[in-house]
Amino acid sequence: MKKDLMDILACPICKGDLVLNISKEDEKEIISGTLYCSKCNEYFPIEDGIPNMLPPELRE
Amino acid sequence: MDIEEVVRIHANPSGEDGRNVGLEMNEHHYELWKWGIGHISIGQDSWILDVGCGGGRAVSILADLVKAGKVYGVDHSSEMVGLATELNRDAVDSEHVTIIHSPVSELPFPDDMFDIVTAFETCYFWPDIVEDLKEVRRVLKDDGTLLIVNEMYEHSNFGERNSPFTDVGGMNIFSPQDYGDMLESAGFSSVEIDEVPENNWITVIAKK
Repeated sequence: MKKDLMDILACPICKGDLVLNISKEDEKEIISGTLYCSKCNEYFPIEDGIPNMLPPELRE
Repeated sequence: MDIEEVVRIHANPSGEDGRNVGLEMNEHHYELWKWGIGHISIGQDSWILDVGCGGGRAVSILADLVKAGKVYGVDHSSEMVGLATELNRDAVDSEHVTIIHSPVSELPFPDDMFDIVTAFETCYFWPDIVEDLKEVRRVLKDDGTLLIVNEMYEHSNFGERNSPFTDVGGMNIFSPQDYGDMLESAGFSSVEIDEVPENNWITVIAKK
């Protein structure tokens, strides 16, 4: 995902702000990492460059 | 593949069969999507969200129409998210298109973000249609437009064909009256509906 996506991405549960943690990135985008909501204490993974915003109970 | 399996794999495409369904939908639904999109005016700088974007062909059509805007696609299937990203690779790289793994029920966006939300061949499978329509309405700007386009709706011409799909569970086929009632319950106004009874195609346009 592009870093600019942080400007609009919200926690799917509370719609609040998210904190980005990058594990791997290249010159184009963030490849893996997490998006963290401190209010919900919930992590959302970034996998293969795509943010996975599924609520935990719906993840595979 | 029996009807129960057909419904299951279209509701949440996964694995190789799911990928093939996504590719097939990208081809098979093209004319339907073009017909549906023709019902609304789309500004070049519009921000559009395509809910249940599947294999991403509709995202691609929309991106061509909003050269100065943005198109976001969300889907709850990881297989479809991958396929939609692959299909729109150049537009994703240039940030014209963004694909996110997300269900309709809990969209990861703030309120009042999009000029248009589109839902092609997807709301049959939404877990709680009125609540999900409320969530879609939340992310629409004031006076924003919701466009629903489906190739199946409840009509006597197609009752015999359609009822086996709803009988197995997991899929709902709505009538024009249902759409009006559900959208009103979700808070939408000025609902307009166009039907092609001979094809069983329906387009529903609602305003926030």
